[in-house]
Amino acid sequence: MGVVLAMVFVGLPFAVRSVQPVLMELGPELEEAAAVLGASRLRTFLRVILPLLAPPLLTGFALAFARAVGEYGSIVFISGNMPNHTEIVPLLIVTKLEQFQYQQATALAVVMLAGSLVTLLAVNLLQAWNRRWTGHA
Amino acid sequence: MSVQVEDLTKSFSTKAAPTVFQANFEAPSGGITTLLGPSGSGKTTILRIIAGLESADAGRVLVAGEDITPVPVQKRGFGLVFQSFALFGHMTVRENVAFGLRTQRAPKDQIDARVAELLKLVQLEGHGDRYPGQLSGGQRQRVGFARALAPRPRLLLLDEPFGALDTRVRLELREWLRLLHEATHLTTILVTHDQEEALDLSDRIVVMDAGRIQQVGSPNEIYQSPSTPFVASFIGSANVLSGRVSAGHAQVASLSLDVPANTPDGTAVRAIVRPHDIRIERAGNGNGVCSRRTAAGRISRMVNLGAHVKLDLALTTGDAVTVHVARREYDGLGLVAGESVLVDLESARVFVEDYVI
Repeated sequence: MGVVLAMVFVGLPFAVRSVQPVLMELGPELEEAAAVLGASRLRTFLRVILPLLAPPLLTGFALAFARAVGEYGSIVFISGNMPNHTEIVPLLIVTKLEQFQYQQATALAVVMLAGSLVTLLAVNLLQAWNRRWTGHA
Repeated sequence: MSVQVEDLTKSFSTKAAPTVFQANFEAPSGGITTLLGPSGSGKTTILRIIAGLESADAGRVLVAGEDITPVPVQKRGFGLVFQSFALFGHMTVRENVAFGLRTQRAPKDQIDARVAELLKLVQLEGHGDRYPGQLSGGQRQRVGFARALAPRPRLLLLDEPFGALDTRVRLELREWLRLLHEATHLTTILVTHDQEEALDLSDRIVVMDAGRIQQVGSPNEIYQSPSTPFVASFIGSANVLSGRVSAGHAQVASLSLDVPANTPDGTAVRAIVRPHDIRIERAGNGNGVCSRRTAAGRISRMVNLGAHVKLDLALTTGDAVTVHVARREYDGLGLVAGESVLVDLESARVFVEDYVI
């Protein structure tokens, strides 16, 4: 729980900063068009605004994720470093390094690297799929 | 579905003059009524109040005799077409057109049938699966029309629908809109600043300036008998000559024109005359006697505009007048720049300005 809280705290600015300009550029016309066509505010948000925010939300998520993977300072402060409970991989790596267990540290790092790669790849694919309606396919 | 606008007033700021002040007009059922005026004249605000996107400070809007002021925008059932298209970019053309039907929770087969019908109507049958970003401006606006028309609106509101398109596409779409309207006879309110568009499409024109309605009438009435100098100069081109009343006649340039009886001397007047209503002849060929209705001047510039030639004249009194001469007549006269001419201002209309006692 503490880990999640810390990551939200660190990652949120990235998400906000990437969504904000898109939201500001959106203008009132789309919402008005939806309203005239009978859509309620909730429906307008879900069907019109949210899909348009998907690309910047993904970007924000990717940035926040990249930041979170390597983060340990804030987690140690907020959640302590309780073994088997709020222990995190980056900290484990540091611990292993300090104990001169280079192989184990490297193994952990490779797992992290692979995980990050897969996640970022997934985000990129999602974004490509999302961009289908922007330019010429 | 006639629309009556009664005493509509709207201010966006307490300091500035109202954006719309006591607007009254009726849009007849089955016709195209155009709100025409320069930008900032309040025409779009009236349209937005009718649509329900803006609320009036005073006054009301009646649709088929029913006051729609308390009805929220979602429940009005009107179609609105935006100048900026305002299409949903993440949806295909088909999904855009279906949006209004989906909010009504219509059965899927009905939606599909109606969307296909609309795509045919706007000549975009093959483009249903494209995204708006892949269409040209004219095609996008046709999607805008299809989206607005799909839920069978009671009233079609058009906010400068052709304003963002280039001239050729604008003319094409205007023609298309006219045919569409002839086929459907859907009551339509059009906002535009393009007087040619207004004269071409409208059954009734509401001319606005600075938040006030200047004149309401058919295109012919507006053009032939403008009720204010503003209307005269905004619809078509016009020469405006200023002068004063003296000895019961308006003295404008070197002319003496009739004014309504009992207009006091010294009252400011303006004479309006259309460039193509002015007859011109060469000075000093005997038959051109300077009368009450003719003025002498010199041609300062000639511009060939194809069908007619535009002559800028400097009158002897210092006033400038623009004259349009039909090509055939121009060829017959054989005028040259710098020449002295006589112009006949027979058709000038005199407007007596409001004066404060």
